[in-house]
Amino acid sequence: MIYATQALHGVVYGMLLFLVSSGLTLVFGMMGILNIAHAAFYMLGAYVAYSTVRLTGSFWLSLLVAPIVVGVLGALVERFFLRRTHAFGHAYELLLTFGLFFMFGEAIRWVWGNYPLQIPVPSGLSGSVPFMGGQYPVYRLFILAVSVVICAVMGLVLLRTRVGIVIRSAVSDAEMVSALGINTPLVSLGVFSVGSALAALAGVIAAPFLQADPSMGAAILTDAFVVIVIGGFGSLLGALLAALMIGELQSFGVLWFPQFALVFQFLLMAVVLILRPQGLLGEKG
Amino acid sequence: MSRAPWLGALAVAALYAVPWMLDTVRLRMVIEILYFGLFAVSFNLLFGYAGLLSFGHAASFGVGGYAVGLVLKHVAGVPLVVAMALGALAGALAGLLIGAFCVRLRGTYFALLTLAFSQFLNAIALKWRDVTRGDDGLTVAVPDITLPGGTVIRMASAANFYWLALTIVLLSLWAAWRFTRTPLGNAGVLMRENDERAAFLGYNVFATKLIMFTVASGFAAVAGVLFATFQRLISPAALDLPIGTEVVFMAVLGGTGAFLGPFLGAAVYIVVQDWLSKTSEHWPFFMGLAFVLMILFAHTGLVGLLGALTGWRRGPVPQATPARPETA
Amino acid sequence: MSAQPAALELRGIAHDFSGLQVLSGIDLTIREGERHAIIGPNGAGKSTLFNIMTGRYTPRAGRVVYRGRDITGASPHRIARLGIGRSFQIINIFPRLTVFENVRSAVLSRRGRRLDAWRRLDRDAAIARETDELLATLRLAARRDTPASELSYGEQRELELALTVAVQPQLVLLDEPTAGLNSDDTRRAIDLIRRVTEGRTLVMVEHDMDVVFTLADRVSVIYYGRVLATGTCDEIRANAEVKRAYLGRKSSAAAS
Repeated sequence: MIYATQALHGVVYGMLLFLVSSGLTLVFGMMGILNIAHAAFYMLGAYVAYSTVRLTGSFWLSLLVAPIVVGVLGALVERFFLRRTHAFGHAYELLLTFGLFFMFGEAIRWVWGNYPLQIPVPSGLSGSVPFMGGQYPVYRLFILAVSVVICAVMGLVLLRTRVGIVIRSAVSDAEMVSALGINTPLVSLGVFSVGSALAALAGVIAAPFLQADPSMGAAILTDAFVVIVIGGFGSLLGALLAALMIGELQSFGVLWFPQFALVFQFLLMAVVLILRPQGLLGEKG
Repeated sequence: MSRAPWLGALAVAALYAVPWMLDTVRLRMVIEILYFGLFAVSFNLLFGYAGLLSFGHAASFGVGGYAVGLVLKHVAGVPLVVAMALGALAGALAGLLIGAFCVRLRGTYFALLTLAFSQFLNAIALKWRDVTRGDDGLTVAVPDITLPGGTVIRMASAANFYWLALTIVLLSLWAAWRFTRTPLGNAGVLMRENDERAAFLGYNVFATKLIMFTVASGFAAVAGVLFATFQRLISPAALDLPIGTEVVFMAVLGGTGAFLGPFLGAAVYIVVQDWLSKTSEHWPFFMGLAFVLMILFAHTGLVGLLGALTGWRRGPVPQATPARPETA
Repeated sequence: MSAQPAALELRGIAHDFSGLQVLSGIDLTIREGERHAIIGPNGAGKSTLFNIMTGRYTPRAGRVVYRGRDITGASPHRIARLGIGRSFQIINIFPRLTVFENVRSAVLSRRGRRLDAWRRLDRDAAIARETDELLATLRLAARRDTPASELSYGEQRELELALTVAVQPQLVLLDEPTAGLNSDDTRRAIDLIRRVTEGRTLVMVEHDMDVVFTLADRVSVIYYGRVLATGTCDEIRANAEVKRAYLGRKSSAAAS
């Protein structure tokens, strides 16, 4: 059943895309910044994982190391770069993250070289399992499982905890939250850092499947843009739906219209921006 | 500009004398500076003046390049200058169409939609092989110019091309500069400062932004036309993100607060890039670093730095910060 | 006064924000040449009504008619071009342009030179003269070349008013023109408003009852999305319902 396999491919990539997009959309919702450097954090995750595996031989350790390293880097970027730029307005914040993306991308090429690096699938996750009369790689199911777990945890944190309530209200009305005496800069720092860590995590689990490649950032960046535009800036549920949509679109697009998958995506983004700029589930117009 | 007209005349004369002062390699670099400078200035008509940050400014640059290439290829015996004018017109027209969709949006939404359009055009250029030759790019055959007296100006000569490009760029810059001094140019600045208030004063926000977008696209297309005829090749790369972002680099580097700031930025960018790329293979890293430092510590660009160092200030300095929070 | 025809008519205006009813059936007639104040406690719907009059919002129901012409939901620039000028409760100017450039932009609009792409602005003596004359009557002349963002709050209020009247509107709508001003500045503002709205129709939303009773010919009281009463200042002061609903409950100064 090629369609079922293809559909599952779409879900797997969609969930991976969601991991990357979730941080991007939350940061935009809270701070009004489209953090282009987010894609560099994703890429960095994959490369840190590569080095961790090379040094320690443990893929599982890299699942811990990469998000921490990148989470700290994200916090530094927020504290020492973005906050300084805030006074110049959104355009300059956007330009700054764009410059950082460029800089990090080149730094990665410098340190790790300008070629794809292979990260072996961890033992125990290699091989395939029977699926709908065919075979399906275990590792992809692992990607799916990790993404679903993180998605669930994120949902629980946002819906059930005090921090979650603060974040959600900050997304819908930052001024109000700040007026209530909550330390918004700290919340921003936290969300930015966690978002970066999530991007890195996505990079780690993507690495054995897509390789660590200096162009992987740019590739996921455009996909993530499309996702948060379609889902609605700031909407996590929207990002989830849109990510799955794009995952399927790409999966079947490659199958049916290999030439035009990319065009469709931008066309879709343009149509949403023109007809419904707030996206499918976005609140802020 | 009006204070010392003879100084301006001298500068222009010096510019025309450049081919006698530089070798061909350097001259080619100066030509590159000319059209990228114009491109960056056209970008800044949108960003610095009207407050519209476009990530897809390469769209009109590329359309201009493809249009001139296609005209020269398919219209037998068309004079070069006519083909160039048609290229510019095509770019302005593309700007009008794209702008009609984009200018209703603000801030990041606007930036992303312009990006989507340029990527869309890039994909078309890649896939519509019959017309564009896809990845290989379209070879642009540049005819010589025959003057009314029968004199033939050979375009194979870099110096001749330089004089043509210089004339076109100077005229374009003058026209663009003059445009910023008109009531319409002023209306563009109102869009950046506070488009809502402008609307309540009777300004049609959509029309004003659309005109600004179209004009900026037209000038970008002139740059694209020069690019294509100079390189003798136009490929999908001309419509792609790297060129669309390079122009942002140049403008911010030079300073978006002065009319010629982006031109200065383009010149510095090209010279530094040339030097860095010979020094280190990782030159893009240093470019990125310089850009980030520039935004952090001198977001008014080189012009702003010069101003701060010399205590010299312009009149009303336009700065591209949206005065109001962004909404779609 | 009552012989004057209607300048602006509101007919059955209703509006809500995501289901929350703010205005429910407003009928109000502003006569040519009168100075009409709209008052009411906070949250009564004054600002919403104001934004509906000037095209910022489109009402859910009802019509806005200006000099016999239906302008309901027309875009702000169309309404402005019909001769309706408005000011804003929160200062709304061009912050990084100078005072001169701010006012000149309004003058350009009045002269229909908004999209003029040919004549050089810096060589246009007529425009400059008109702008400077206007600045002189407003006492902003001394601050001519100061960026608007560097003005004091009181001066910014004055510039806000200057922008509004510089397009020479027939109908002037002022949204709390004295908000945040001290008593000196308020007195000056009253004087200024009286001067610059001479011969025009004025509608203003105002909290300060002294300002209202000094400036207005007639007053309308909005209460819970309805017009509670319309009448001369004396009539409103004497109106028992108004007293009960509004004036009696709070002192006039604390109305906000």
